[in-house]
Amino acid sequence: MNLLRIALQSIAVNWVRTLLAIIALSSSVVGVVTVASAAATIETTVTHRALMADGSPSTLLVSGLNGAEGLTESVEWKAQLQPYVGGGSVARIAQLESATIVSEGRSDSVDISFTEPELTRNHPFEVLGGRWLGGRRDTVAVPVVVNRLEANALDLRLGGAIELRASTAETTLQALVVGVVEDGAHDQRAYVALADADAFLRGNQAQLTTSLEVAAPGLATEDLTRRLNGLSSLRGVRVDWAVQRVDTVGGLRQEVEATRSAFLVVGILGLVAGAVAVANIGLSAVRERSSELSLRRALGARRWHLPAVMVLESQLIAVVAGVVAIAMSWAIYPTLAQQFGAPYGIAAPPYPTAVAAAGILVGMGTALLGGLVPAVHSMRAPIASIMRA
Amino acid sequence: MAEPVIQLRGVGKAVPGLPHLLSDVSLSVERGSSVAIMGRSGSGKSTMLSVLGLLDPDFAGEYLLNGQRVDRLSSRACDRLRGTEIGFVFQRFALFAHLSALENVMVPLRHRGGSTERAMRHRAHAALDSVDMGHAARRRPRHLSGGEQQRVAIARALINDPALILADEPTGSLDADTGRTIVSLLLGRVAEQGAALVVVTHEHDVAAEMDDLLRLTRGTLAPGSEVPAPAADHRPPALAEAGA
Ligand SMILES: Nc1ncnc2c1ncn2[C@@H]1O[C@H](COP(=O)(O)OP(=O)(O)OP(=O)(O)O)[C@@H](O)[C@H]1O
Ligand SMILES: [Mg+2]
Repeated sequence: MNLLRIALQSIAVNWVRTLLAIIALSSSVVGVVTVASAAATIETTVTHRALMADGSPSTLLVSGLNGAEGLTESVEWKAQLQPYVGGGSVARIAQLESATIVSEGRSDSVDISFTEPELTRNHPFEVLGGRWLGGRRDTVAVPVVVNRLEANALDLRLGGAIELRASTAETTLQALVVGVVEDGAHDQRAYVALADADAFLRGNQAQLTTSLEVAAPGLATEDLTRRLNGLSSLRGVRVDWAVQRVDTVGGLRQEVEATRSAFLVVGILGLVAGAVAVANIGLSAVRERSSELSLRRALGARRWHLPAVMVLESQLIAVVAGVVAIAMSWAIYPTLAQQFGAPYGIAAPPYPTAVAAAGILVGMGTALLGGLVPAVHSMRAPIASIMRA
Repeated sequence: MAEPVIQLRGVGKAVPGLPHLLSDVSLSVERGSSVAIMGRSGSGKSTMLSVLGLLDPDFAGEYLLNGQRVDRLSSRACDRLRGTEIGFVFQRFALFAHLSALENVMVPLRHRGGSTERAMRHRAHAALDSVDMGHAARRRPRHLSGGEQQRVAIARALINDPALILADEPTGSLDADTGRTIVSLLLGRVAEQGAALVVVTHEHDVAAEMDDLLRLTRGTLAPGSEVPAPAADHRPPALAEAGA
């Protein structure tokens, strides 16, 4: 308690030195927190995007079902696969070779997935407006959900009437935009419930392929292929199954990890600079304060009192610097997060409080390291010199 | 009758270039008594005080403080004794410029620990009152005159009720009148607390106030005459100014 008081008194009187130390330390902590939160933002964005676009880890796309018959068969295959993946998900996705959306006289070639509402179990799309597929259908027009890029390309509005066309056939589908989602894709896309488009798809069956997207933890391509072939021969049918792994989140995560390590090195260098600055400020203080230190010894200070006071001083400075650093990084954070998240329309992750708290601890550690050198120095102050001062 | 507070027997001390700065110092000072040490500049007076004050453990010979051998003590034990048994008064006051008079007086209490903030304040106020400085408790040293600063320093030296007060030229930075009041204050407080007082001084007036007068020459202490010696013992003004 007394030592704390002594530390406070000397911090107050040497306010220039204190200020310098706070600036040095808080800059390095801001650096670390910024770098760490940038890394966190990048990771969140990249991961989230990969999840939305390509599904959770171990997502396999099974193709080989063609035409109207394939579409019909897909129901049965889905039922066969469901028990195999347990809690995992199986979603049917039908696609036409090429399709366009026409809205107010403008048309745009778009990748349309005729699928099931449970697709989002494996793809955590963000609904930007309106709703996702499924639920009650109360219009004649078929509900369509478009991604952000498509909404922008055709300037689509919620509730707007559009028309879906396959490139070769005359049959069209009258539709209604019911939702806009961020799906992490790089191109324009639209989603329609399979159940709503059955006739339309069969009418264009020459271009129709149906796939099954199967996602379950630990699912391997070979195992699934073997399983499918087994099921085929049991049912006495021949299908040229093609099973392809489509998830990307694992690979991306590894890449981000590398980036993160590089960031970490930068952050550590910043901390080292901070520690050196604190040590330097402290060391010059010891020289300047050597008579104070030996006088204190003459007045009964134990040998360890002086380093204890210096360490306390550095820790008090560190706490203030940490608070300053957190305030600064908190102010910077939205801009920073915007930088990495916004281009993909992904909401920035919340301010990394854990990183900030770690920042304070790191600041205290840095100050401790920096304060240790002067503290050890202070123990060596020759106390007899006070008599010749 | 009174037991000696300090006893030196054959104390020697060498410093680089001066192998016999102190060669055979013997000294005994009793509770409630005072002794003046005089000597040329550079004769080793301050060095002797640092030995007495346990600031310098590196000396030869025997030193008993309150009857206990302290010449072989660990630095930890020295620290403790210094805080509780010894009070220092310096020529240039050596107050902490950033602390108020009250806080200055509290420094030894803070390092000693073991009492509440309230108790420490109370005690420091009492100590300031005893040197007539109660009114200046909140003032910083730079707002005090030299004599006032030395009073505060005396209050600080006495705050832990030490058995031994060591004063190195306590009036060296003061004019003659102020010096006299400081000396009588010091003697009064020492008598009241029953401490032993060792004063190093260049001033015969000051030395004459003490119970004993000793002279440090060629590394040993010898009884000094009360008769003011002429020019021989007078410091050149430049040195006095520098307070070396
Ligand atoms: N640790 C040391 N290293 C080197 N020289 C020292 C050391 N301590 C004392 N001396 C030398 O010993 C001599 C005596 O010093 P001291 O301070 O004891 O003298 P003094 O009698 O107090 O003189 P003054 O009256 O000027 O204060 C001086 O020459 C000083 O330089
Ligand atoms: Mg001296």
